[in-house]
Amino acid sequence: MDRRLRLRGTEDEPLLRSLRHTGRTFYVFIAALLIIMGWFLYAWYIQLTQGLGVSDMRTPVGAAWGVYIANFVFFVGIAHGGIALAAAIRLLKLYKYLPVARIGEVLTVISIMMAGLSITIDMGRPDRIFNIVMYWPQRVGWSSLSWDVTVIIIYFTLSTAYLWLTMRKDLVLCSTKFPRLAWIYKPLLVGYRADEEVKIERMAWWLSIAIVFLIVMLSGGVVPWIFGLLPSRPGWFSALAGPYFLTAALGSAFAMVIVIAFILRRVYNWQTQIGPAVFKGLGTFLGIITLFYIYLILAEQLTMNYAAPIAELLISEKLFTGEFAPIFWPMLVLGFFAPAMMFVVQTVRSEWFSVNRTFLAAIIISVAFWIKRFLIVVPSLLRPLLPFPEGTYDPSWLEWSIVVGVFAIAILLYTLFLKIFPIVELSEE
Amino acid sequence: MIDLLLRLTDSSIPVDAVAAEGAAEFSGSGTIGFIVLAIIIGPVVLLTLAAMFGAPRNFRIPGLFVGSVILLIGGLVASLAVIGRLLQFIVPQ
Amino acid sequence: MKQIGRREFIKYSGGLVGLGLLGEYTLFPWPRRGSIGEPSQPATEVTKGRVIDGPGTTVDSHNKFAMVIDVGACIGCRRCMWACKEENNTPDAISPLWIEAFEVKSDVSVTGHPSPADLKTGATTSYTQSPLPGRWYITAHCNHCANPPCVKVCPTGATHREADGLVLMDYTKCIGCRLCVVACPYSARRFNWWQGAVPSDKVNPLVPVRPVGVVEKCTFCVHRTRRGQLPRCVEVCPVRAKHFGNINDPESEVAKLLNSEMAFRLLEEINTEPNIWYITRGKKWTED
Repeated sequence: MDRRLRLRGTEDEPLLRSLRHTGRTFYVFIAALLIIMGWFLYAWYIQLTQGLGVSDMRTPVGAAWGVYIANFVFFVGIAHGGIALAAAIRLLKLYKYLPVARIGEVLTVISIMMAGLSITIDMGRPDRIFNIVMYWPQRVGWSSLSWDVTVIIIYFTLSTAYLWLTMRKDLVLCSTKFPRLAWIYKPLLVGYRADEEVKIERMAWWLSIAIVFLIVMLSGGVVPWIFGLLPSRPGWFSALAGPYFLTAALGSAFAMVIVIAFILRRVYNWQTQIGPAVFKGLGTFLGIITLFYIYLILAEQLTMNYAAPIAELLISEKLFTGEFAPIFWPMLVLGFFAPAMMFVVQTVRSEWFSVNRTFLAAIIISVAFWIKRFLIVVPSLLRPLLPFPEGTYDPSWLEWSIVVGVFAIAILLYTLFLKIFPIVELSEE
Repeated sequence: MIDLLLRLTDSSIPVDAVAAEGAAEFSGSGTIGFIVLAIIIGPVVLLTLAAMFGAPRNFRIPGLFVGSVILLIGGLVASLAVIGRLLQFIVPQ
Repeated sequence: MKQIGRREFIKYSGGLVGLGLLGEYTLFPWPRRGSIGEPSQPATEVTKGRVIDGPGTTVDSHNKFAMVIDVGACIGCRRCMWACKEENNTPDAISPLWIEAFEVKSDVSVTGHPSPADLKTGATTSYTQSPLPGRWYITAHCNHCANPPCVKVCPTGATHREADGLVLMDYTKCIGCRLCVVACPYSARRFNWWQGAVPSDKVNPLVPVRPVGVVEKCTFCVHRTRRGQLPRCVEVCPVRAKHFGNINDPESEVAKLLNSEMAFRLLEEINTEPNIWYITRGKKWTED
């Protein structure tokens, strides 16, 4: 009762609520996340000491890559939309969406870290991870994985620097309001001068272009090329891989931004700060992207069916009528088509718009995109080009523990950020 | 044109002028990777330079930016080495 | 608001970090910038602590090793598979083995190459009796391709091609990412999902024992072939279906066979330029 009064009426900085008010629910939430993270560490420890055999991945009959790689691709994907939104806001002057810009930027930085974690977990010898760096000069001329590592590191660096530079002016206010956290704010404010904002805005503008270009070249470039350049796997080997992955990245990322913005808005009562117009616009965009993605699925599957070589036909068959049909069809119809249609209707008939429904649709689309990543990685691996027997892949409890654990860590890091830094641009005040 | 593309991607065709006698050197020189990365990193570098040296003139912020980039990349590489070393105690060698 | 030493801070920390990185880069013993074909260290060099294929062997770049398999002769006995396992310290944890034997029916595949289409006519790797009438037996393993996708994608160069045509592994560099496994069109590569154990009285000292989490595959018995012997699978075949040699030598068995017989290679159109040829000179065994 008391808390509500404080929240509504008497404060000067509602956007600082996330830093000020830490209730009991919050601690319960963190405790739950820590428990999940503990379980994740236990599962990973088992895997590290016994080998990747504790998963259900197998060679050559079976999937050499599974949910870990699907997770990696998913996190790289959502890492893109986050900062794409911030970049679009600056380049296209869509200031209406400024309140959710940083929500997206933080999503980007954390997601890239989770992508890196997912890849490390998938390695057979993660203790040799430095070999990727050590032999980079020799291999970057050939290996698509080296290209991926290179571009991801550059992207992560630019995104983090971008987040930092655009956050500085808010940190000035924070260091006065929250002197206990000054030891964090002060180093980040190194060299601060009040007039730096002009230069930073200008730099952010140029960097936005660079980042948008990198998004296309990463999510629609080096990551899909790990799959799309390999003729050994029917279903993967396709020029469509680039646009396919890029669309999925933007879609899943925007869905995630909607989800996070909605949750934060509800928890901290930011109904005016993050207005319904933001959700309407993001929802429209998400609807268009999802419809475009359905079109890409159609194009791909038609090509794998019409007069396709048997290898491609068999993979497509797995999705349409085979062992993955019970996942594929619900994903397509309920996971993509229905929410996309909802967004279209909502856009066309403004009176039917609802923030709650937007949130629901965004969650469904996010889950559908994760499932789609799984359906990209696994089916093609179960039917090789030589007449091996059919492989199966049924992820073990350990694999699921690790996947859920990575999500828990992501949420944990995001929540930590929330408590230290303002998640919505303060200049709105 | 076709043989240029073939030479870029086929690692078994010697790229240099001295053609292999028998099966001497296998030298796809890995040019394709450099082309791909040049296409990706080139514009990024140019845009970043524009960001740093474009108007308004300021040397403090670009300096901080470069510093942060170096710290981040250096930190990332260092943390990979550290993580690898730590995991050596857990993963059976 | 108190400001931390702006210029000084940036100058010194940035300078220190930059100097450190530069020093590391110049002083670090970067491996020689190699191309796809060159080994990252000469095979004769004693490489302390490195686990590589063919330790102590020398590369003769005039060689180009190739194998010719006579499909008509193969009776699918799988002796080659088990001999290979014994020879190469392959633990029980690696399953199936480096060599795989397919039983296919003759109406679809043998003049082309086995493909998923063969599944429609009941192609299998788990046949229990052989040879059966109307069936052909085709063994496949690493083809040691001249344009190998597995070598291209390896991010550390653990998989590399040597000057005598062999595609070999440096198990110390391998990080277990399995990109080579998914890149191989022949599904020829295997991964150590578990820590394999080979009983110490059965270990072949010429072949490295691989740790958990690395990829491995057929090496054309590099420890034998570079010393003038035949690969173990070729040696034990009871019907002499496999032939091995230096294709650059016109007097070698393989060169002569390829000169006189029409041969096919697996998945030729993928342009991997494999070095295993399959010839069909008619069925050698009779059905009784």
